[in-house]
Amino acid sequence: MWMKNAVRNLWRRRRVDAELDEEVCGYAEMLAEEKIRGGTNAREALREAKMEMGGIEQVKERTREIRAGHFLETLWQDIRYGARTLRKSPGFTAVAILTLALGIGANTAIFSVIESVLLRPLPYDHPQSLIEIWNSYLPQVPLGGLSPGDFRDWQGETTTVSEMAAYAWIEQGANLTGDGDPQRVDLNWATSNFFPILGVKPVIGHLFVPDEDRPGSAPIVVLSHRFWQSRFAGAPNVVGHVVTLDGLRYTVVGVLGEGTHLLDSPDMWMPMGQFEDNLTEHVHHEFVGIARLKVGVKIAQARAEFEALNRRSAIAYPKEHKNFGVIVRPMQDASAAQLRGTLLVLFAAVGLVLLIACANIANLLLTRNASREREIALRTALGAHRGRLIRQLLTESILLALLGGALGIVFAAVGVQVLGALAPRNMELAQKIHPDGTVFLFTVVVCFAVGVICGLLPALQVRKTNVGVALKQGTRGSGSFASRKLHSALVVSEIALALVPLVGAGLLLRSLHDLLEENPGFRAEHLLSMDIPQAAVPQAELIKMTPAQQQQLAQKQSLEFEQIIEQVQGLPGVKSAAGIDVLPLGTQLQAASRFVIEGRPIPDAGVRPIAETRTVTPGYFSTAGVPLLRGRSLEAEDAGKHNIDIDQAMASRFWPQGNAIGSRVSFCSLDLTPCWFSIVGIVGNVHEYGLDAAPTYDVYFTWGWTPELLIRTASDPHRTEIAAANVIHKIDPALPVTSVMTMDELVADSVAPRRFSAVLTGVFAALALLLAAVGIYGVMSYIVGRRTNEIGIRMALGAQPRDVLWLVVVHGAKLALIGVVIGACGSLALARFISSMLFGVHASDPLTFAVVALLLSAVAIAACYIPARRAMKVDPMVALRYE
Amino acid sequence: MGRSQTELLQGTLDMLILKVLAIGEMHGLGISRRIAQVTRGTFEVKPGSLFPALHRMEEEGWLRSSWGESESNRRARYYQLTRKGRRQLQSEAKRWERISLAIERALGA
Repeated sequence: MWMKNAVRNLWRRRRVDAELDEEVCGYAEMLAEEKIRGGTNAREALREAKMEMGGIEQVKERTREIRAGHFLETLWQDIRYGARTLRKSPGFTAVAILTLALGIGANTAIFSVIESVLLRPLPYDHPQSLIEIWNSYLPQVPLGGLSPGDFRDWQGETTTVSEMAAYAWIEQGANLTGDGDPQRVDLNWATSNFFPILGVKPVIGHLFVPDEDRPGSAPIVVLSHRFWQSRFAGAPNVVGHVVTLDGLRYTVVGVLGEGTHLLDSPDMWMPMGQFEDNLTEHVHHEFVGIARLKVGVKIAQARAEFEALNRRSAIAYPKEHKNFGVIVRPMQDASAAQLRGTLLVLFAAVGLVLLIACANIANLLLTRNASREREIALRTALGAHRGRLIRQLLTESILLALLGGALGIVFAAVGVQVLGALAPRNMELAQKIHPDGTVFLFTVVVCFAVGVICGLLPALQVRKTNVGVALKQGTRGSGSFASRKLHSALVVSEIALALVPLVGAGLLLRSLHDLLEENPGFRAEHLLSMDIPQAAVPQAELIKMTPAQQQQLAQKQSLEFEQIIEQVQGLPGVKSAAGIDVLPLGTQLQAASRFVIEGRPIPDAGVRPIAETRTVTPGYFSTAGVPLLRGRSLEAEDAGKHNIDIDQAMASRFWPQGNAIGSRVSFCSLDLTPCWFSIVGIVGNVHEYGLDAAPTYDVYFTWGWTPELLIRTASDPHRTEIAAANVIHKIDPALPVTSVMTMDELVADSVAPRRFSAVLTGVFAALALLLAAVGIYGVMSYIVGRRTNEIGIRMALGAQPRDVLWLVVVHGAKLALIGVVIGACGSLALARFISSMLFGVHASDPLTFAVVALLLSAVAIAACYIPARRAMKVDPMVALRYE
Repeated sequence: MGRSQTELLQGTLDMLILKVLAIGEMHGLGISRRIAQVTRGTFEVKPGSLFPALHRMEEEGWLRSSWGESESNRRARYYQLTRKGRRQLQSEAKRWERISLAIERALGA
């Protein structure tokens, strides 16, 4: 019924209104006729009738108000009125829309990243019941894999999860040869129930079957969608195709779906049975457990159970398993966790930018409404409800916000592209962001919120307007005291709000600066690196070899690599070349081992320290620029003599008296026969895990093939790139040459996440500063404009232009000071939240706070200065005549 | 003026309009005059209340309106009860009886 009436009233508004008019006028005329019949003068009768009725228009208005759809009708009127008002002052409208578009656009862009990366559930079946099970080995390894034996035991004993699967923690690589150029591919291994637990299905072919979890299973691989596309151009007949990996042949049985961004997304998956290691041992921690909680089981119960299972393993295998902890946590996207802090900081920054934008708009609206005071007072006098007036002003500000939001979405679309391009390469941010309906909804909600926030203050001012005073006042009042206080409050809050992101950006940029000052441990300039991995000798063959044969193999590989080094060193512009198996500044554990020191109690029950193990060629330290501190660097014959170099961190921790050289260390203490290595030299510390990571204990061996080739050049290292690759391919055409980059680029990449968050926070802080400056400028101009009269009087009474300038600037400076103090207190409270993202500076770093406070005050005063200059030029005669 | 009082008056006005229209169709001024007549001048319904009430009741579906000729040959809008309006009159009258009975008792006690 209501709908029908509303539709009729709105659709046929003209007709409905005409009928109402005829009806009410008819009533008046009939009343007049009555009066004439009663003897009233015909001319007087109609007037009397109308008076008795209380006004024809008023009757009509009251009748309209009760009609269905009246709200919508007046809303439409408000919108049209608002649109007309906005069109009338295009300058104001453009500034307001642009300001809001910047604020809303920045928020939409950051939110669409947050939504895609953090909020969207993992693309698996019922992801909320999936958990990960890890080991830890504190303090050095907070997160590590499970041993194959523990995984088997726990898989059989657990009762809180419906099924438990595992995949290899550290991806490995293999050389793909045969079809086209040799290529290095990333491999991972998984149990047959791994994909079913996740609910991942192949697009073609099939995945693993349980039989393939056992050693010696058929050599098969499953391809990732991405690799299928890049290497095989999505050919459907790839199933059944045979690929050669490290010289062994594997049959492709299936391809994963496109949307399957599994874990580190390797190029290929193999069944667990192909993992060339003993699957019952408890020494090597190579697997990550994943499991699905049984229905109704809480993660805490599963955690308690796995802690009990872990304790049982420690009792059953005291030598191997003691001191391992267990971590049970909801399944998560590892790269998302890495981005979390950065994204939340950015979200906070853009939130503040938006608040400043709101303050600006509120100010603009206040200013404009002040000049509309008379119009508003007039409408009130003519019977407009105040509620209606407030609603109309709110409609106007929401309209502004929606227009700003529409433009903001365009900004956001561009911004997201820029974000994706700026983001560190390994984050694959651009590939992850797919804005959807949630983002749109977010933007719409933000627009309404912004509209209300901007419009509420100015609208509530209307309520306070005194009709009589407003009507009596001239065209320009001197500005009521209350409204001036409101303007000042807005300026103060803008300064306070802008200070927070500025301090955040300052702290992050100083951290980045300090980090880049940090010595990586090697000389990065003029150093080229490339990955030239040799096909691995199959584990099965290695096991069959005697130690002497293994030694021979290593020697052969050393010689092959030495040949490459010699040839590369012969190239023009090359000073030297050397090899290492794992580059510094890595992101995950690659090669490390527990160790014991000869002659000291073997800490069987205690925490055994862990050293990073690196294999290098003899010339590595001089080529990489790692300083030799004591003893000598490794030489070719040290491979057979079991000699090692260690880094300073290890030497000073375990041999504080400086007697490390000559001591012996074993890295296979868990075997029956320890294998002792003698320390012959001490080299400088190298940052193995990023410039911000604490130094590790590093041990250098020389032995066999080292896949990372380092080339020290006389000039731009990139010029050597092609020549070096040609030399390598002349020696062995099957060697893939990948990951070619300078060590400068490696250092830059390692700080890329920090640079990303620091630069973006900086950009948003600059935006906040700009908006705040515009806001302050606007308010001060307005206040000066309103005080023209007063300034004229002052000047007429003998004030000098300088005094006037001073008057305005001091006013602005006072506001700036209050804002800076409030903002500094807020920043102090908030900065602790980013303390984990800082390096080398404290969250309350006085220098950062001082510089930011000075900068902001300077900008605020500069923003006052322009209106102050204008005030200075006021001609007292003109100003006084102004009214 | 308190809200409850307005509502009571509004309810009363609705009932009075329904009651006078139960006799036959009538235009606005006619309804107003008739109400004054039957209540012996206790209720003077002003057009500012009458027209909103009529339009609201029409939207509720209690009344139906049509254009016709007045006594003085003027085009006027005539209102008449619908079936729904009659039912509404009955229930309003019952409700009113209950209220007035209760109030009478309360005052007489």
